[in-house]
Amino acid sequence: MEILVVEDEAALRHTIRVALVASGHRVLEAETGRQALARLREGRPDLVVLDLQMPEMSGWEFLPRFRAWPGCADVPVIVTSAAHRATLDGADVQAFFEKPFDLDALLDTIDALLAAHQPAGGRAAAATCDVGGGGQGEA
Amino acid sequence: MTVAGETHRTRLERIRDSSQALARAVDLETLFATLHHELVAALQVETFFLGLYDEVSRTIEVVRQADFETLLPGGTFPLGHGVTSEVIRTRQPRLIRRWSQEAPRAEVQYVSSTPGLPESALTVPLLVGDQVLGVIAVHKYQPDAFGDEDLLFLETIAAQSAMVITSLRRSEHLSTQLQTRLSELQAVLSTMADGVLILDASGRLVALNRAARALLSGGQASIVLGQPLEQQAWGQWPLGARELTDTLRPLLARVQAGEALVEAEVHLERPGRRSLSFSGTPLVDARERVVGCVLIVRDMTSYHQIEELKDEMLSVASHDLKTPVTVIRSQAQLLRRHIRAQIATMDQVDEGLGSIVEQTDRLAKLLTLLLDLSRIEAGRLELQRRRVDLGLLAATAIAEVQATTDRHQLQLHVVGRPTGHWDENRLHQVLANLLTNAVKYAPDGGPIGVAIQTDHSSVSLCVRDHGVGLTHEEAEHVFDRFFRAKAMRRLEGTGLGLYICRSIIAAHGGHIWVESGGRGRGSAFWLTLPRAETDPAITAPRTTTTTVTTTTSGADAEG
Repeated sequence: MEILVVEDEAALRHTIRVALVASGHRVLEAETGRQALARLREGRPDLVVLDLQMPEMSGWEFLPRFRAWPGCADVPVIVTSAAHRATLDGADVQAFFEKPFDLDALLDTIDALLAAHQPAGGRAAAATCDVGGGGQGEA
Repeated sequence: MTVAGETHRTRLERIRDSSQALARAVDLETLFATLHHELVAALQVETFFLGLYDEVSRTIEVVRQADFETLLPGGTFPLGHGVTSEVIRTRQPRLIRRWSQEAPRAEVQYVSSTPGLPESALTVPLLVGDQVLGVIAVHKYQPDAFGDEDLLFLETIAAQSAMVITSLRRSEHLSTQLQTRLSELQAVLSTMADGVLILDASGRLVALNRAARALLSGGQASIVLGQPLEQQAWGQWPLGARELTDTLRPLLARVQAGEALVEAEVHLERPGRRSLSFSGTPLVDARERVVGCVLIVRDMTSYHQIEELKDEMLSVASHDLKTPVTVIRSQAQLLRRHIRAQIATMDQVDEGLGSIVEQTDRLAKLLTLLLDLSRIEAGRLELQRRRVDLGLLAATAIAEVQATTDRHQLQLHVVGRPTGHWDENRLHQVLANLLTNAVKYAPDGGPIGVAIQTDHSSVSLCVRDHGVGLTHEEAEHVFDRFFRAKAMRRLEGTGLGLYICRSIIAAHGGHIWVESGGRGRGSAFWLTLPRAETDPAITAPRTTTTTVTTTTSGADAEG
């Protein structure tokens, strides 16, 4: 599956990429919200791992643009951030991991969301699998 | 007709009436008028004066005198040998039946309507205990006009008058003291930075100090005394009139209702952000009734700005500290996953551990930065001074930074022996920061020159690069706290380093500044450091200084 990792911290982006590739995924990388939007032109990802505090275009700014992008309204988004979850203020996000997060839990949640999303393709299915975050992932 | 001719009862009544009349005197003027009236009525005196004696200057001041119905102003004469002076000296009353035969010749100090001089006189001292306050003197032109009983009557009147004068003086003294206190209070009010407004029971503005006028009306004279606050020309007030009214109205209502201390704050946006805090206290009289209120206005703008900056700083710091921790944690977890799954290669393990070490260093640097920052903010940046050679220190820093780049050529040029008593570690920190910046902001590489000049009392150092340079505005603010951090919301590499540099140099008593010809024209960071007095090198004559040129090229540093 194709996963878009939007994270301005290169070392962290690299770690997530290595972990996802080892699990058999393809990874697209972006340093900022703006770069992420540019990558969408190459195709719709199956899931997005999104940081919030980034230069140029933050995760908060990216989210509504992403949802409005053709075919992206239902793509699961996992937010990883040092900021508080409350700053998302009801945004359409399937899981939230506060930094520093548990990598195993993040990978489990990614797999669960992808599995739930794949066959049914509906949002309801995704929501039921949203608990795999080892206590950190939240609905 | 004299007192002697009256009945005993009539005399007592006259004394009572006179005493009561005198007790009502509110000042020396009314006292004199009352005395005049009573003495004419009782003794049919023809001329009369009230004199007060000043012990310090030994002079007698005639408050006023009367010649029949004519009231005349007084005058001052020194204590001499006349009748008045004798009475003051002896504290004994004097009855003169025939002046021309009994007493030294007196001169009348005014133009009398009556020819000649009075023959009969009664002069009595105004006594309070042993102290002589002055005299009352009454005269008649005919001889033998007064008798012993008249003297007794006048003595009674004098005793009463002395008491009145004493009490008048006491209240005058009090009122002077009150005046002094009042002017002190005025001085305090007019110089204090907080604004003070005083309102009466119906909410009318009674008084305000300079600070209040400045804070609320920008110094304009649009605030009118005697008007309630809500009827002031709000529209003329430059700061949000409606916000002010909305805040003050309920506050004043609560204060007028007697609430002890009511506080409120107004945040005004235009023109410019302003925060004003108001605290109202009721003014109560002796019977606990609210007779008005005192309103204190304080400008909280800079306080809030500092608080905001601190909040921002905390949020930036927490983000920046969490980032390396996140990398370390996820990297460690990744390694463990791969080792457990037996898919980890040695290269992968090596790379992962390297990343963990790198991020740990980054974390440690951030913590040092934060620690420095909090020390500076708390004013506790302590220096460990010892003898330092800035040339050697610069050479070390240059070698370290040169080791990180192939594209830049760092060169050192030293004139004189730049020694002084400084904190070696702190100065190394400053040099490392300036050099790292020079490398970072000259991404295309090129020479970076470090020049050190020494003179009698100070050492100056300049780091010159040919990089991106600074705009005029950037150059002005580059040493400010959060100069770049504000825009980028990052602690690392954002000018916080320069803020710390400035604090370190300032702690040494030196200066740091930057010169740049603009964008793309490179920049030159300058600093000067005073050399501590204890340094023997300072007293060395300038002629002994030698020129040493050290050049460290990129190739040298790597080899």
